[in-house]
Amino acid sequence: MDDEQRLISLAREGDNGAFQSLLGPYVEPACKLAFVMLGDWQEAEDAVQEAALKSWRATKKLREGTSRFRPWFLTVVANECRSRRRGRWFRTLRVAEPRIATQADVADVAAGRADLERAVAALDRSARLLLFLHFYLDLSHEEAGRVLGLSGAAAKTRLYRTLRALRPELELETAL
Amino acid sequence: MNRPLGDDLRQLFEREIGAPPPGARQRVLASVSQVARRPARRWQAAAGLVAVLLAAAIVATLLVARENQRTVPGNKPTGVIPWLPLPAQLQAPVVPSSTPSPLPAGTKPCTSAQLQIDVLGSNGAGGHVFRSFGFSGRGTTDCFLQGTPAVALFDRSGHLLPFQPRAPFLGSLSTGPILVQPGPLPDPYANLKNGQAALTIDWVTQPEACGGSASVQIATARITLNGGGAALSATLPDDPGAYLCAGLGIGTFEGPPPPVEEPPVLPLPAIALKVPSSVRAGGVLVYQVTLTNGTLQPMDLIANCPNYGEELVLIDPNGGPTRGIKPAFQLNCAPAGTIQPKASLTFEMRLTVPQDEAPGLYKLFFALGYWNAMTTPSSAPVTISK
Repeated sequence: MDDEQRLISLAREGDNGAFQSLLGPYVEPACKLAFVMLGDWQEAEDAVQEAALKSWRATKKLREGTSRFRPWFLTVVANECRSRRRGRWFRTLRVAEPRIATQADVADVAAGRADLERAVAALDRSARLLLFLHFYLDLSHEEAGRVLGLSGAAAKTRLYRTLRALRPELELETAL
Repeated sequence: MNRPLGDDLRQLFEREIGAPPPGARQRVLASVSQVARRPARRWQAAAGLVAVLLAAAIVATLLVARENQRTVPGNKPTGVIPWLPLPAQLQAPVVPSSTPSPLPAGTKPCTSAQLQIDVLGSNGAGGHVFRSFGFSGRGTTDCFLQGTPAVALFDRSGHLLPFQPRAPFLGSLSTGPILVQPGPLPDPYANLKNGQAALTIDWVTQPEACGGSASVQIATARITLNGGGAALSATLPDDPGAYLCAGLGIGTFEGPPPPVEEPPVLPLPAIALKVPSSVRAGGVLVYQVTLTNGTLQPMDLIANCPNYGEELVLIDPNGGPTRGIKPAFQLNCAPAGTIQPKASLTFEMRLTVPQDEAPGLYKLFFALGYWNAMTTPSSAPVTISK
């Protein structure tokens, strides 16, 4: 049994210190995930706080043999963000600020990054989220799929299609 | 060949996202530790039973005291009011407006001859442009608008732009009938008023979806109501170009937002903190908050119980001011009753310090507020040791 499994086991028995040790390293990734989904740091932090409380309350219900905390917690965060996004207030008022080009952006154009940025911005929300989970948070296909409610195989297929749409000439094997 | 796409994506997200606000991790961990209940240990089992009996007795006493406070206004408890982990009350009471905008019986669907139209404004998000139109009545008769009309868009030469219809990007919020009355057109920079309506359409401004095809410039919109009749025409300013293959989202007619009366502004007592000079990481910081009613009116804490928020912030000579304190708990108001003018009450507070909190000199911030409207926090220094 590794450290994480031992901490999960202790947390299931109600050890808050163990739960905090599990949670600590994933608060920042969770905040970033929530920001990607909600577009607002304040709202993202609120969502992560709520998800952390829900996770703590639900820890006792974790299945025996659950060995990884990260995908489970990020799933709770993603569900909380979806729930907030469904709120009427969010749908009516939360409109992302258009990003203003900076000097760095201008320089990026030469490297073709601005094209990539535009292409990513044009993707649908779930495809963007999948890229973020896999490439930024380094989640495996299985873990990213779990956050999105997909099987690992489905996540991999969707990732392949998304990357193909982003840069058709790329050798995808190197990216995947 | 370009660098690996995975690296580009990682850097792109890094640039776009940045870092969470300072202290986010600490606040999230603190919120969890606050609600956590430590498991009973074996040697505590017997004490636990006694504690349960004791708690039952305290609750009974408190209930009696609360009842007494209701019947004897201004009754003041003696000693320090204990801390309880009561969840913050964040829902402000919403008072339904006494003047809603009902649809009078016999109101008929609007015809284009009964309406005037104007362009309200536009917004951009997610590669889309959202363009809104405002409507009001002209003449003397009320009517109503409902549902999604037919919208045809034309370029400057008057050619019809063949958009495929699709669902609106942000969804549709209103499906009911919207009362339209004769009156001025909506103000582009204010909420709709009763008797006014709006409609929003959206189109895609990003080229990727349409595989290299050129964008088109929308110049005119013609809106045909569901009942038919002549179309209403509006000229659009120079919005970003649209990509036909990505379709056109057409919303439903919307009316003014439901009116909500503001809850009354309630006064709050003044705060004085009594905080121990140090606490160990992983321990519980037990401190006292004395609340003083500086107003000339009694403060009934049972009828209006404030929330409070608390935060430990490492004193950083290079750091800026802390962010606003968020409400975390509700005061234990039941035993407090009413604070008379110039009188004070003292509450015990408990804050669990995370085990991995770095040692150092911190400031404890404490703020009171109703719902989520927290006031300027009071603070006191405290040292966290290992």
